[in-house]
Amino acid sequence: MTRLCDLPDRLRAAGYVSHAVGAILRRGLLDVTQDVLPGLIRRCREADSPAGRLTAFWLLLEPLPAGELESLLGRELVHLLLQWTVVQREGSMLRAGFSLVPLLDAYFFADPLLRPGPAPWLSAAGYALALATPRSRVSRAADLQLGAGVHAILNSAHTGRSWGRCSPESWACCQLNLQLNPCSCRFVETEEELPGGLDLLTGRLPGDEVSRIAELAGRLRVGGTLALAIRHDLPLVDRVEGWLDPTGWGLAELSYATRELEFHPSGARESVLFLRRLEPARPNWRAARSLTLPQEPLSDLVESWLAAQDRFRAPEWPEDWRPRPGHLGRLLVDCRSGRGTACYTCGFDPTELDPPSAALLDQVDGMKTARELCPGEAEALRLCELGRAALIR
Amino acid sequence: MSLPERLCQAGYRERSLSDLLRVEELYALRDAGPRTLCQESAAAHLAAFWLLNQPRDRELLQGLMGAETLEELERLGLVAATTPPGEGVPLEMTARALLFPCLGRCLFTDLFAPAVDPMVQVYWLGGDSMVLARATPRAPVRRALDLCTGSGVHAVLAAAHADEVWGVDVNARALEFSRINARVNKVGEPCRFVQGSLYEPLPEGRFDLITANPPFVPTPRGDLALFRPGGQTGEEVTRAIVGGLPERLEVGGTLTLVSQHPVMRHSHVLDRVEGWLGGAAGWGLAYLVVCPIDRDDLIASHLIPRLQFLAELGPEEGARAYRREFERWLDSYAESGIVAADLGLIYVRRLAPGHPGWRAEHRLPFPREPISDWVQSWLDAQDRFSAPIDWEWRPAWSPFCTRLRLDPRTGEGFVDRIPTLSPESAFLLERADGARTARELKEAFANRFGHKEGVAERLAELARRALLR
Repeated sequence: MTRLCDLPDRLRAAGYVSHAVGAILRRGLLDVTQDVLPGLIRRCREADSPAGRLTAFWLLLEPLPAGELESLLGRELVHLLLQWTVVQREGSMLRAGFSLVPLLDAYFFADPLLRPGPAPWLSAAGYALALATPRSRVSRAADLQLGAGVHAILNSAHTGRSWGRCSPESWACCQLNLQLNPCSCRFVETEEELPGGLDLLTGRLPGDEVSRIAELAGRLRVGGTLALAIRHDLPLVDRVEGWLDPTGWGLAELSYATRELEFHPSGARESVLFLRRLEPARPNWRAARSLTLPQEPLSDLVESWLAAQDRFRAPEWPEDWRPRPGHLGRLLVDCRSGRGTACYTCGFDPTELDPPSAALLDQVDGMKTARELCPGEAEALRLCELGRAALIR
Repeated sequence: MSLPERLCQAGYRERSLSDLLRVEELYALRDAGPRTLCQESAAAHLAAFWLLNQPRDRELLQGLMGAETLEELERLGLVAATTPPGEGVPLEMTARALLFPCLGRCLFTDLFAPAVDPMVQVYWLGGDSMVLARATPRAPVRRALDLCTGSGVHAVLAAAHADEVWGVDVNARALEFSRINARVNKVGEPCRFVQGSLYEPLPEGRFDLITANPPFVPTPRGDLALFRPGGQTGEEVTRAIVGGLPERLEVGGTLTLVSQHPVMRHSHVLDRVEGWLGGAAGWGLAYLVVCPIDRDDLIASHLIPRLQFLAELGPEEGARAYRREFERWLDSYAESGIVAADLGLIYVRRLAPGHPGWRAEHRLPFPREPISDWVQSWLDAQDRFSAPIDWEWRPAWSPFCTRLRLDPRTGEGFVDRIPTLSPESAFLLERADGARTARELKEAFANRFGHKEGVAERLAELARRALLR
């Protein structure tokens, strides 16, 4: 029997995947606007491929002859989509009533890209959160965000149990997404229904609700992470640190610029804030980095970066530890000053290094032990810094 | 003290005003949301008055610009007295023009939405104007010419390094602005503005510097404002300007032309320029791209001003009409082979007769500061290093090569503004210290790589990229 969850495989087979969509439209989904819609439709037509036709149908809501959609997705699936009223008939044509968006190897229904409703597609902040949230295997996760249920379902892929908030208006869309991505995720209507003792709590927080961070952090268990997309106009980490106990917390901010800055005359910034619950006696740590809004997943890098803050707090490593390059894409060394620029494999803006640190990083090859690399305390501290920058592991 | 000097002293400069008004460049105010400036600084009042079109108290303006200057501006119709509601005496003044700071000068233009026929509107200093202002080579010259002069900005700027400057425009209103701008900036003496089409109204003779910001929008029909359409390919006026160079450009002289150059499916812009010139020999051609523009964004940017008109048709019919119009432009672009555009500059340098000619191309981020010195060096280097190098030359880093970063694993080199250097080129650049001769560098190269091939070419290429001198 055909089910909605068979759709992703058909879409992948037709080449309707995020990088192909980007190549056809020559822009990201955040840049799909009404002004350029006729041009984008023309690009889909020019692509003259199943992916082009599906992009026009699912993202730009162009009608498609019923027979053509059936040949792309199969007659039974199209029948199912009509039953679910995801697709509607207009004479001999079919038109999508929801956008169907590829993201991180999954697909999600959302309100039409250019007609946002109660289940809108991700904003820049939503993208940043989806791409940067650590995705190591954990037991319990929840998402605070109302909408299409994207984060709750993404969380469920690496958790035993996952919860998500959902408004009555977006309930239908969330259920559709559950049918499309079968998982253990459970949607609830209010925040009070979300459980405590979480390993991961994600969400977007309006700037005027940042004072709730400490309360939300109380829902985490030791080792758990709060990941919040926040737009704010004041240095955030200082404020949040003031609300926390002096031990037992790690606090990290990933900030990125958006073109929407124009509309925030006070100079608002956007960030993903991570708060990690440590063992109660562990001293607090804090870290901050900037990045260019990513197109690719950053989860591994962020997970390494957060873990490294605790691991590389001090030079306490096993005798035989042989450090290897971490998320280092390329090390560049200024030929006259010896200063280094460490570029990452993805996402993070480069780390500038003083000459000794650049020379040290250049020596890290997985062969030499930390003891060989660090004859003195100064070198050991530098190695810790490189570790905290996720440049070695 | 002149008005520009007074304003400059009050902080009325590009960068500080952009920061104050929270835009990347001042022309972005055209599309930016409404702004309120709470500051009481002189620059804030002047910006509110001249760029945001907000009225200000007459006495305040007299204090900021001088009573005599304000009176003269009122006589010229650039400011007008207005009466606030409930007041009998006109105490406030409102600007009837925009006033842009530009490289120490100040330029009046029409308002973003002036109450004049769009066919004669005088163009504000847009991104293209700013690029041309910042990327024109500024070596002293005898005669300069600014074609399609508009507000006269490039003629006024050229007056700082030319003995004689001509500005030409078909638009009589533009020439009125040009003359006012020359006078306000105290360069009225060397500047002459004449009405006509390109070279047609000029007396005999050649020029050492020609600047041009011609109409460039590839447009299916010429129904937009006079400063925009450039025919179906967008290059009609550009072609006429380039075609006139054999008659009008002095040997050693340079044309600097800014445009949204169409990227065409089957030809490169410098191939087209070469064709318009009638061949490559005797010409140096350079292309500097500062901002690639997507085809759809390009069309939308020119259609959006019509949205207001389309909205009158109602939301659905308006959307349909917009789509029809957009598709008409797409068809026209497809017919012309246009797939995108590049905001950038074409430089054409007239070389000595018999010179085989040279070509160069470079991409930079949109320049926020003047890059004229770099451009001058870049063009000069094409001249100097198009011939075989002298092995006794002692290459040294140019002032524009401030940092070379090497990847210790691959040997590749990275210099700001330049694509990745191969390990061989990076090796030579690293050792070019002004002490070693090219011959000595060749020996060092042979010791490192086991051969001497390509050393001369690599050194010349580094010099043509303005990294070595």
